[in-house]
Amino acid sequence: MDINAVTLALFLAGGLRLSVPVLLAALGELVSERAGVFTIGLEGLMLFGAVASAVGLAATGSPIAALALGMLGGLLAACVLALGTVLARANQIVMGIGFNVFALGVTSLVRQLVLVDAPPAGALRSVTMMKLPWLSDIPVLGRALFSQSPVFYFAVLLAVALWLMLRFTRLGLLLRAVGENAAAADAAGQPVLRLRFSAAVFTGLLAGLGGAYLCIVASGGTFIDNMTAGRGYLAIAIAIFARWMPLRALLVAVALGLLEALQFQGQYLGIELPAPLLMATPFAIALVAWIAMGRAGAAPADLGRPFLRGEGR
Amino acid sequence: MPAPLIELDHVSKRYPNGFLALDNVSLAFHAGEIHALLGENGAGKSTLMNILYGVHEPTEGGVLMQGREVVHRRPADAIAHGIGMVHQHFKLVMPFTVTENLALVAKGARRAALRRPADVRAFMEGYGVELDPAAVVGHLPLALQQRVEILKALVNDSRVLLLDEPSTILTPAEIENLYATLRRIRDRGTAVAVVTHNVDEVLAHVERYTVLKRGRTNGTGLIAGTTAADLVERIVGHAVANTERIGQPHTAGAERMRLAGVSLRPSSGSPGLHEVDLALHAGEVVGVAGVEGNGQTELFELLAGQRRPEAGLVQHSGPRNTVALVPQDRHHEGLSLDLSVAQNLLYPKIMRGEYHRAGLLDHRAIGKQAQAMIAEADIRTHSPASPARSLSGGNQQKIVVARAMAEAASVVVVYQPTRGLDVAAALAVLQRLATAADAGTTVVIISSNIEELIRVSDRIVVLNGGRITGELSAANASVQAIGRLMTLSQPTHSMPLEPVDA
Repeated sequence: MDINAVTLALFLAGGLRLSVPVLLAALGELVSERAGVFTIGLEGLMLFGAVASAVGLAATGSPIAALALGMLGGLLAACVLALGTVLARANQIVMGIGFNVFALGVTSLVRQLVLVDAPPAGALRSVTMMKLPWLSDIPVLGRALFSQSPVFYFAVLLAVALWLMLRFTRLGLLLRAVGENAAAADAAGQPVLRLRFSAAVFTGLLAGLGGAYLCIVASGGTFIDNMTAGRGYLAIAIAIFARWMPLRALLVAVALGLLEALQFQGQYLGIELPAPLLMATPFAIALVAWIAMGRAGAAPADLGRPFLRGEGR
Repeated sequence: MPAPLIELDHVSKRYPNGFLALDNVSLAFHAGEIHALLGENGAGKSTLMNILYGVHEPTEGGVLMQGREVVHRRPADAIAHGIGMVHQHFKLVMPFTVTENLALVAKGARRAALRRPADVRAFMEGYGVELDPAAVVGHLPLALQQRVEILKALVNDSRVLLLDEPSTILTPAEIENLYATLRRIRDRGTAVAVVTHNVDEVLAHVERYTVLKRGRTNGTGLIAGTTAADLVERIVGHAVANTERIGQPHTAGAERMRLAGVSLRPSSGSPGLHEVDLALHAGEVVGVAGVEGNGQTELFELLAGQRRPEAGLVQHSGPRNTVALVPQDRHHEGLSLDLSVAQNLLYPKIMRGEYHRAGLLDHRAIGKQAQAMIAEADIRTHSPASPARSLSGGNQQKIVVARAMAEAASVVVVYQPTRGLDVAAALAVLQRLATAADAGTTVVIISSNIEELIRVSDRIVVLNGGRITGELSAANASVQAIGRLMTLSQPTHSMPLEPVDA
């Protein structure tokens, strides 16, 4: 089949749609990593967001309320996680992996106990499609870029806002200082633990929204066990690959989304690659990112190090 | 005399590990005065500063500002009371610019002013500092990084400025510059407190001094009318009762190893090394004295072959020497605490393939050999199989020393070998080292315990600021003479001293 405007537009739209959950989670991750907190539990936070949104949808029938509940679920889960990693100074890697296993179990249990008789989802169009006036009429780009879920627009705006925040605001300076040298920030009179806790909770908020998007927008409101399927880890890799810069994270997430879309729509574009290869590619890229981080000079210097006053560096 | 700006009121500080760092210290800093805090390692100088700055809380007593009691639970509290601190290890965010580092601390109108580079410049020039506000701090030379640290401490127009060992990492010319800056700060009515161990620096630049010794004040007063000899005496104290020699004096044999013009660059918290020349001979005990943090760690690493000099040479005479080490920190570098006493004793040999049978560890042979070493070194342990963790500090140290001796190396380098040991255990360790020298081993002891070095060494070199400031033979060594070399930032000949009565 020839490449025509319609298939190209569908491919682009599909890629962007797929990039939203990992983009949100990656933006959250890079904020907490900039503040020195390695949120390995990102996958679990997304799962909690997803299941909370499914419960919210079943309870209220409102997809917007469901998304909001997804964010709340991620936020509360992140509070628990940060209690361990930030305040109790637990090992961030161990605690994060444990948290992911815990999340997988708990969310599956919630599905069995609460969601088994969930009524079929009603109209979800208010969160799946929002055609922007004028812009959506542009050929190809209109369909690809401007007929997306409102969550997509939010994620793009958020990437820009976070870039501005980190680069031009005092809050951004404080967050980066806490991640680069927590002892210096403390000696400067800054509330290190409060800043780190807030950053970690903000990560939960975004990861929760990412999970909720997966469930409500991408899967018609149905929660499936382990529905994140490694996207949390992928998002961590994106944050690292993007060198903790929000706009780069946007580009990397979109690139990976398009790659994933090739699985579904590649054949229409005349690209014949074996599906397993395409499915594995994002994770291969993630692996490269993890290796690259071992040598990354740009990583926040205090990333992963719990802070205790009076303890020398 | 102006009224005190900030006071310590009968302050004691006991750390969670039981160490009493400050013992009922009362002390006042006055506006418009530079006040030096002198003392050896562990005298409590840094603890005192950290209490004022809210990094540590006192166990007893309190802090008064202009007569009123204040409580500093965290640095933010101290900053709010107009206190700034320059830390020994700079608390700077290295990838940030000068302005960004200042902005981290700045409050109110000063914070707003930092948005304009011209205002940042004006603020810095007020203290005689010229710096590019947009320069990345990590790229600046050390002396300028320190200047940023000072400006950071002053950015909220602090009334009290605390500096923890600011001169250790500086060259003599940079020290002059530092005090020129501090005088400007003082003249604005700020109380300046400087921790240092350099007596000549104090005599040249400071109005008032306090000497701390083992957590207590050991003299305080105006510098006018004080002599270097008096200060050194207060810092190192009187010679202790026991001056009895440990082991026989040795006659040095052939040269084994030589450091020729060896240098390492300074970094935050390290003075580096500056053109160090040191020859080591067979069968002698060489003591290296100095206040901790003056190049001892760097020297140890060079002798151990863990680091290469950035300039100069480390030469071995004849066949390459084997070097056995007793590191400073037995818990981190010296021992595997969860391995058994036997395994710790024989670790290097086991790793070289000894004590194996048919490719497997020969536990019987290991136990037997360990038993012999335990008896010889008088290590008090329940059994050779007990974990090293279960032993007392002194017995743990005996393991490290016994293992180094068992290596039969040509050179043994030991770093603070008796720290934390009781008198009997310390004596045993030193005797073991002296015996090794009898057998022709070159023994280098790096220690801040002067009395001990005098008793065991054949000659003593003194490190200060990464330089060797002097060398004394065992016959000429006295606590006072070494103390002088330890507390002078300039080489001895530039600074005549009146004789001291021991």
